[in-house]
Amino acid sequence: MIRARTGLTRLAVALSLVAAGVVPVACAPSGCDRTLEVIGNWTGTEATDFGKVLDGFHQATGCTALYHGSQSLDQELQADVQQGDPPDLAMLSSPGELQFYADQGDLRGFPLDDNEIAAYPSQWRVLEEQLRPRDSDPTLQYAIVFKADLKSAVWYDPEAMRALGPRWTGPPTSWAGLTALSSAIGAAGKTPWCLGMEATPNSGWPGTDWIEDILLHQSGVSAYQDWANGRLSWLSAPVQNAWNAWGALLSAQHTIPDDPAADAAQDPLLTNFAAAGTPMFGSPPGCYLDHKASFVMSSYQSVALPGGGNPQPAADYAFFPFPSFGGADTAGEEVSADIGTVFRSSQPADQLIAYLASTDAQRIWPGIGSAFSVDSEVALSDYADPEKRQVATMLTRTTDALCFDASDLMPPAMSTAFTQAVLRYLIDPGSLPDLLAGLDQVRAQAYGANTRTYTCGGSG
Amino acid sequence: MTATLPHPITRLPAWWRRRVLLSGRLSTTRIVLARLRAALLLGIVLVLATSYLAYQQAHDTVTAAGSRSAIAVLNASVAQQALIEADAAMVAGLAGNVVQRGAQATTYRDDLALAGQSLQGVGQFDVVGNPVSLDLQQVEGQLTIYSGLVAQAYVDYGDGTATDSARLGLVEVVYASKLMHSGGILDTLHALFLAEQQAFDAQVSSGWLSAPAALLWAVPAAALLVLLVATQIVLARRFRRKLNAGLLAATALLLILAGCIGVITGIEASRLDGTRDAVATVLADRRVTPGALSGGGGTWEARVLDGMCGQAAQVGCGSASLPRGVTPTRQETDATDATDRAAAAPDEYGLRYVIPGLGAVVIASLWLGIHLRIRDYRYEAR
Repeated sequence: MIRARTGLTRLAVALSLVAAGVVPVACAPSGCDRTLEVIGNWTGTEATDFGKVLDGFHQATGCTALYHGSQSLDQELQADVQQGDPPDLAMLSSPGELQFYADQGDLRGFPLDDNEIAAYPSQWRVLEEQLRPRDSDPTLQYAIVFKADLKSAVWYDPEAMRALGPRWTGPPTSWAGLTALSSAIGAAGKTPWCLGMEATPNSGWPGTDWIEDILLHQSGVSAYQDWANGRLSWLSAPVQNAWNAWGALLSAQHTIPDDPAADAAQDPLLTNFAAAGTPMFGSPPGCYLDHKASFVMSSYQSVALPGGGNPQPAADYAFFPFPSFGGADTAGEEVSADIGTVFRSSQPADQLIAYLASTDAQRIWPGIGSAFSVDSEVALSDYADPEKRQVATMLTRTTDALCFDASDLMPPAMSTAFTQAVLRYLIDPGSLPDLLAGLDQVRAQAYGANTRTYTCGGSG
Repeated sequence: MTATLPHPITRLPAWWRRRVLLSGRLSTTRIVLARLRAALLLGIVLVLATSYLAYQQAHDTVTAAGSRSAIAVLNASVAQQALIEADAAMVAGLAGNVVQRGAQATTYRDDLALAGQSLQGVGQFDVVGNPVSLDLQQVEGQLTIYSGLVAQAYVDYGDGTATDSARLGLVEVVYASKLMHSGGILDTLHALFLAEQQAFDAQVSSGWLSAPAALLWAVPAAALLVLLVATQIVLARRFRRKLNAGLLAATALLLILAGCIGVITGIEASRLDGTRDAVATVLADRRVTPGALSGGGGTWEARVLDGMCGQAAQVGCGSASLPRGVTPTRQETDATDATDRAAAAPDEYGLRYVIPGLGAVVIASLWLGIHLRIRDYRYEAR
């Protein structure tokens, strides 16, 4: 009897000890006591694809994150921050806006594994470092490039180009070659360029990409950086030359219809930027060349071909890098990116951004959509087709300077004036001197006391 | 010698039998009366609990639907109509002369203000929560952009004499209209509206307002009624009296209580149905169709805008037509009717207090009815 009692006592003591160990663990806050909120500007397919990345986070950690995609991201984020109720994470495409939040002290640092940091090529780490708030904790990160796009690309339908006969001798490698091709197409009574400036609420930005790309490849990385940083006048030769070069290129086609009422369908001001390339796949093609960022591939893939089916990479669409004008210092590409930042610090938020930066997460999106990772550990074989692989190669190779979209680096007032000027220029190219003078006045005010300097990644 | 227990106690459970034996006072009638009293009290407590729960849930549903969801739905529909009309006025303003532009600018400003107030109303009366609040934030952000685009468009258009600048103004008006119509503000608002409407519909068709929910309390009430009648019969047979007044009062009060609950729940459900129909009428009234500029088609601007709107916004923009036969006066009358019905739908007639109050009286009647009988015949233990 005594032995039995002793046994029971031991059992009770053992159970108590187990309980003492287990209960605190079970009852300890897992950190996932609420759903994390992530805000960004991806809608439609991109939002769905990002949802799959967040599903991966849920599977890996058990934590849930809710994504909210909005056309009015800037307004919503600003209102949330002002009301003291920011989202946990935000995905922003404009470093200029991020800088605003960094200067206000709204960004929160987060720890990131050294190996993850090292997986990002140095060109991209430069950008992340440039977004670091002043007096920030050097052991913490404040931004990660979640996905990137190549902007220095000209898209075409290989079959349609071959049908041009001797006018097509392969992708041009110089500006002179590009203008010759454009002129030849125009001379044949066809429309060389697929133009679409409508991108509500920021209509006109597709034109800013043109000016940026030309300026970079014509006047070089150094001039591009100075211009983006507000240290190069809009009245300077590099900027004027870029606008004039664009105007000359477009002179091969009748850009703006004479009768806006009757020809609204041909008006590039009213044509949506994503749909502008659709006529390229028509029979006969409505246009031949499309200067667009790499994300345009997802738009192409939803076009219905006249013979049925959707355009396929390499067979129906391909791209060539934006050609250089041949000067010194012009080996660079224009890029854009969506940058992840933490606005509300917490353990789950740190976990989420660390997950998004991880190679595991970076592999998901390229596998399902048209996003590109700059994580060098994401293999080229993770991309489904040769066009994507070429884009991914250009985004991660260390030989060229990668220059971030200048209008995204500019203060919002400067950027808005720039997009507005593009629209005006297309309507009235003769107004360029006035436009540039106006833009230079905006420059004087918009940059103010801004002393930050952005440099192109890999430019030394 | 073996002791033989009297007949009734042998049927009692062992623990009860032990208590009775210990008390040393054996009375079959007392045991029966005590058991009946316990069963009746248990029954009335069950009826009160279930009826209170069922009624409260039904009433809360009607209250939430009438005083919150219906109002949120109506506010969302006002915002939709106001925004379509504001956009039409904004476009039409550039197609007319200076006087017409001034009038349209006033309409635009008033409609935008009305939409803003209505969106505040949606936020105030929202019952859906997070998805709607995110949509509301988005609409408000989009409206800020929209207003900015409109302001820029009017600045660029100026007086319309500088052709290139005027053309840019017209283009920007179309950008604004596209933000409103094509995958923009109205789409977000429609998603928000649908969420509120689904919440309202779910409340109107809530299970707590249906007949099966009434069974939750009606079945125990019916069982209690049967038990009351059975008790009357038992008492009448044992004590040779026709009716027990306490039980009779309890029976009558129980019937009154059941009737009150049934009728009042029915009234509230019926009023909510009426509210739903009235809201549906208002929504049909407010199904405004955007269209091409009307009456101003002769100007260059009108022609350009009609062409541009069809191309970019995929809708005609510049006019907004009410459904056939609907006038602003009728819209107002129908909206007032719906709002009045929604406000009047939840009316509990004090049932929240009647149920426990009447229940207490029923319990007292039951207790007294049987207790007095026990006392009358000295069957109480001493």
